[in-house]
Amino acid sequence: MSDKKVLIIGGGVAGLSTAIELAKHDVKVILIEKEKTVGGHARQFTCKATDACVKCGACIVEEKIDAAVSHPDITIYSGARLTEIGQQGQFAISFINQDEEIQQCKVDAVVMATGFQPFDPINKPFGYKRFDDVITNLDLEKRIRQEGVVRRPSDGNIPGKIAFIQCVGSRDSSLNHLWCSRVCCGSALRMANLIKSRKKSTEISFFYIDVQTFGKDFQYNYDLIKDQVRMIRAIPGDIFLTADQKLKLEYFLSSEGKQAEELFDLVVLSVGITPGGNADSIMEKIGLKPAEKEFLNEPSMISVPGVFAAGTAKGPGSIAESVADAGKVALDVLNYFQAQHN
Amino acid sequence: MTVKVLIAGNGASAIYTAKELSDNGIDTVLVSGKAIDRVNFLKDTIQKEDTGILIYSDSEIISCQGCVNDFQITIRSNEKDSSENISGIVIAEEYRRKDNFESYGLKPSPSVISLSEITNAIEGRSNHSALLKEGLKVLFLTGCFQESNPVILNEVMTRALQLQKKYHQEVFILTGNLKVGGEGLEKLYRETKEAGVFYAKVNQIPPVIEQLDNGSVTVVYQDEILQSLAKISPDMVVVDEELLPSENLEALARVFELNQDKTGFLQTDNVHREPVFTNRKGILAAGPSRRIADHHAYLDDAANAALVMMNLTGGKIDSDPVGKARIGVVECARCLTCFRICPHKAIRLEGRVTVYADACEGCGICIAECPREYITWTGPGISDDLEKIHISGTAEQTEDFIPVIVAFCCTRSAGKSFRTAADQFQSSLPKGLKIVEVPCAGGISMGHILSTFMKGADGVILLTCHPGNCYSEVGNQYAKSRAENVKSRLSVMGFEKERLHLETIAANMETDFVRIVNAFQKQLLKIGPSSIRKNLKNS
Repeated sequence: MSDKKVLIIGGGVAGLSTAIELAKHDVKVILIEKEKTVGGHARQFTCKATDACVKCGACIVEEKIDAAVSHPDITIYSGARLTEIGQQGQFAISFINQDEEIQQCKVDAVVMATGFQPFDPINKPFGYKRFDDVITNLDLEKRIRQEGVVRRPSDGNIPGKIAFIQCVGSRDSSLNHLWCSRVCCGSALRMANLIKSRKKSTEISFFYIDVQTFGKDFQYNYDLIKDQVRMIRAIPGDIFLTADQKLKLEYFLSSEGKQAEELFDLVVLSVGITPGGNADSIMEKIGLKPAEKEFLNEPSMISVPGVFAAGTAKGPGSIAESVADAGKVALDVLNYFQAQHN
Repeated sequence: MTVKVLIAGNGASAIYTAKELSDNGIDTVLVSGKAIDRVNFLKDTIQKEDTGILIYSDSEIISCQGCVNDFQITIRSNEKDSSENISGIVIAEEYRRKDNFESYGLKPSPSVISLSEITNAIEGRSNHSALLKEGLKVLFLTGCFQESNPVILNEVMTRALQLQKKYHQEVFILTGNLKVGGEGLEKLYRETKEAGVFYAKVNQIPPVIEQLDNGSVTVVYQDEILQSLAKISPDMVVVDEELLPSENLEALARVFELNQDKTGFLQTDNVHREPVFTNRKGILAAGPSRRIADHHAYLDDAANAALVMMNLTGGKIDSDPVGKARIGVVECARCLTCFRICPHKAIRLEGRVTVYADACEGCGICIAECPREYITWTGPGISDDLEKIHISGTAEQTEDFIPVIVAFCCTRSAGKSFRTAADQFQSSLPKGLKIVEVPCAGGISMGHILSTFMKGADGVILLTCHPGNCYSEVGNQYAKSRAENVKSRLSVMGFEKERLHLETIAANMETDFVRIVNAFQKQLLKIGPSSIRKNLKNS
């Protein structure tokens, strides 16, 4: 299949993994990434191991980046913008590379690994962007990766009491977000465990609807973590800033049947995985109906032969799930070429 | 190259894998512990007339010799043994379902049934029309006392919806954490609620379940919204099930020498095994042989298994290291240490003790452990890299003392975080830091550590993967025990044992890498130059 060439749009876990699998099977790959570096959201994630690995999978991203960058049959254009995709047979594509030059070529198939958009919690009553010490799980990942410890953005102090609020923008009928983002429970609980292991005295509360299963040895890992964290089955209503710069959370304590309030130093919002990336504009260019903020989870949504979707563009999933999905997509592409050949 | 793949299993996962392989022109042998009918089994799935799939039904795999590209498998059917030469193996056994009656304190009865029984009744696989009678009050118990999973919840909600809508029953679901973390499950949850299915969550206060002698059940639970005790006396109780590894996995693990996870699946909980890899090259675990997952995940695993096997057709093996182990022909005393410890089962015992080159992952654990040092690298090894490190000049404990630190870094974790750190924060790294990247920390021998001190290093630091993250499963444990051993020897020799340090690290911990090596440097600055280095001749 050495004469075939595939365009992969998006250099996150799914895009990189699909590229590697295709290249292993002698397909040439052009990968276009809009950001300056490849790796996607997961590139910013911190390792959450304490005295042992907790299987978050974030380190795998580094391996994928190295494997893709060093493969002679994968050409990566980061900081690039796709401007055109022709619609028939071979796709004639045109893009602007990071040096602002226009480049053109022809590809035989297109994989949309356009990823997800983290939910923007600005319109939720949690004070995001109004109160410095309300941050998202992605902010927390970045901060711990860069600094090793978690600090309050407002004063740089190490927080003594932290609240994690789950399902922000997930499982939310008011937004018509009728999905669970699947990875946030595991991510937040592992993060809580990491923070506790670095500073035992930190008090962590976990506000949730239902704890979702994560990882292979879930029961084992969950049992280890849940004793370290106060589990509260409630989603707080509002957050207020007190005069001494603490965050006051109000919530319904269902085990006691009453309204409760509590002060925290830092609040972490576990924002949901929502459809996004540039999927809509790309679909329009290929001549498909834009998905309009839907995951590409129905094959009928990408009904042009030779166009495929991979990873979280199709719906929420973990790093490991994106890697596994990439293999399936790569084989679908190979089988598509095979069918054309016959 | 002709590739022949053996699949163990007899359910959806095995069929999907067989289909992907056969569609891609790979000869497939399927071994099932059960009696299966070839025509029924393959119908609707594999379209081609002659699939070339050889089926051993009602059979057992009793031995496996050799390695990737050259396995010799013995299969026993009807007390007759057959032998197959196989390039690669995919284990794709289904789950075992275990009812949870006992954990709910219930005895099965005509009105207390398992999830499988209601599924069979609805699917028409059993004649239980009584279960589907209109107007029954049905209670599902799921995940109340132990965590469930999205696969079971999907089945619970699907059946609940059918009973409520199609059979006009009144359905209650008493549940712990609702495992909606699977595709489409939140939507299905809403749909069941709109259809009138009633949910009560009991994950904070456990319900009290009582079964009378006549079999009838009452359940009392704390209603969180009403803040009072509520009581349900259903006509029928459906108890959920647990999904457990197939009972065949234990035997397959033994035959194929595969590591299992804590639950018994044939893949350790190690991120390096994703998606379908095991501790042995050419032996893969797919679908419910490696973890609990839904139908989509089966398809993904089948595709990934096919990709690995298609690579074999092209003469390529996934993860083929440059340097591999080689056992000295004349010197080997056949102590079998290497055979015992190889995590990838790459040591061959027939005739001489040799290394299966195709199966070797190049971790070097055997090289470091061989009591007589008769195992060497085929390519350049750690000792060659150490040779390149020159420590020149003597040092005194003055203000300009720059400790020479030799950091042995596992290339997958510490090596990568070092490279990122060197790229981003070069100026923050200790000036005397020298890096030796190793394929696995398990390959660092006591000899390597001691000879590094003999060269004049002021400090040696071993940076290994975290426990549970070692590509060779146990390389980091070997590194740790060797480091402890060397430390105790250093103490005996009167050499500061603090000059040797070990930490665990991951590929994405560049900031921590800088912190760790600087903290070590600080410690060495306090101890001062090594006595060996002080005695080095100026060169």
